[in-house]
Amino acid sequence: MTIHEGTELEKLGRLSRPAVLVLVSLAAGPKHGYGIMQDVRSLDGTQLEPGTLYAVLARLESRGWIEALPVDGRRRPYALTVLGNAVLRRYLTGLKHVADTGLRRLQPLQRALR
Amino acid sequence: MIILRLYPRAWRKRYEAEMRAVLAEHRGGFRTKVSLLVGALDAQLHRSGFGHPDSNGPNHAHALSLSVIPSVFLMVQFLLGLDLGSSPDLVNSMGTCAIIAVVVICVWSGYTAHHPGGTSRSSVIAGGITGVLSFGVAWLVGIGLQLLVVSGFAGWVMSLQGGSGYFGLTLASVMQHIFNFYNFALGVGLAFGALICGGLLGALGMSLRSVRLAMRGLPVSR
Repeated sequence: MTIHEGTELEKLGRLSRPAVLVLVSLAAGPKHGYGIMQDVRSLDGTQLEPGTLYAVLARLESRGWIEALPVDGRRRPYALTVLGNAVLRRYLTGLKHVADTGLRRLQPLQRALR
Repeated sequence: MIILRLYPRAWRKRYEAEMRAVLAEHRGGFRTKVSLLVGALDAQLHRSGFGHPDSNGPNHAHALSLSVIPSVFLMVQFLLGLDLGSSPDLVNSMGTCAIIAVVVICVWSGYTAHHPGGTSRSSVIAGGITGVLSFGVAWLVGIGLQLLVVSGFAGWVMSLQGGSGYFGLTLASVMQHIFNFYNFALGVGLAFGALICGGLLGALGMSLRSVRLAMRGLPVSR
């Protein structure tokens, strides 16, 4: 697994980070728009605004990474698809590899600074 | 909320009701309004694919990026003009290339906006928008080049080459030229013309696509 295999999400440009947060939120189960905003806020403090949220949801849905479920009142829940699951898994695995390597390389430097 | 009206019709059909539900729960302030404005612009620029079968339309962001191409020829023409040794034919040919580039990208926009089962409207709009954008970007580049001449850039380059060091027009005369009412009216007229010509070229692109689809036995239009 290389980091390049998880770059589908990075093609979303400025929306790639919010997209990752939305996918991670939906990985816990289906949620509607406001539920995603609350979950993302509790996840890392990011306040997703509705304009950004729906720009992300439209892109994720058009790529088949999430799917819209039947309307519940005025709200429409969204769920992660099998494809979305795979894309997110690849992206996070690549990110974990970079993070692990970076932290491992920082250890000698940290010991030298002590 | 009136900002939601700035979103494309297909987008509103698909997402407006649920977004209103979110806005009813989310206590939004200035940031929310800004995000909706940016979201509306984003949705206008990326019209293709809102998860709705009727929403396939031209990708205006693509048209915007392509519309820069003709201006590149104008830049090259300007730079070649600074070199006194350049052939006048070569310098003039860059202007012709800019016009050809506008025609090609308008046709191409119309071609790519057309899809099996789609309507001709999307191709005409794509061609028209590309035409206006190309004209607008070229106009801005033209102003930028005039300002370069005023700033003495061209004279400075020519003096380096042993030329006379011509410093061009004065800033006041260029500003007068840019903001002259007649030129403004001419610009609006040309933009309108670019819209119509671009639309016609987009329709030509659609026709080319239709012929290609028909040859492959695919549905052409509804």
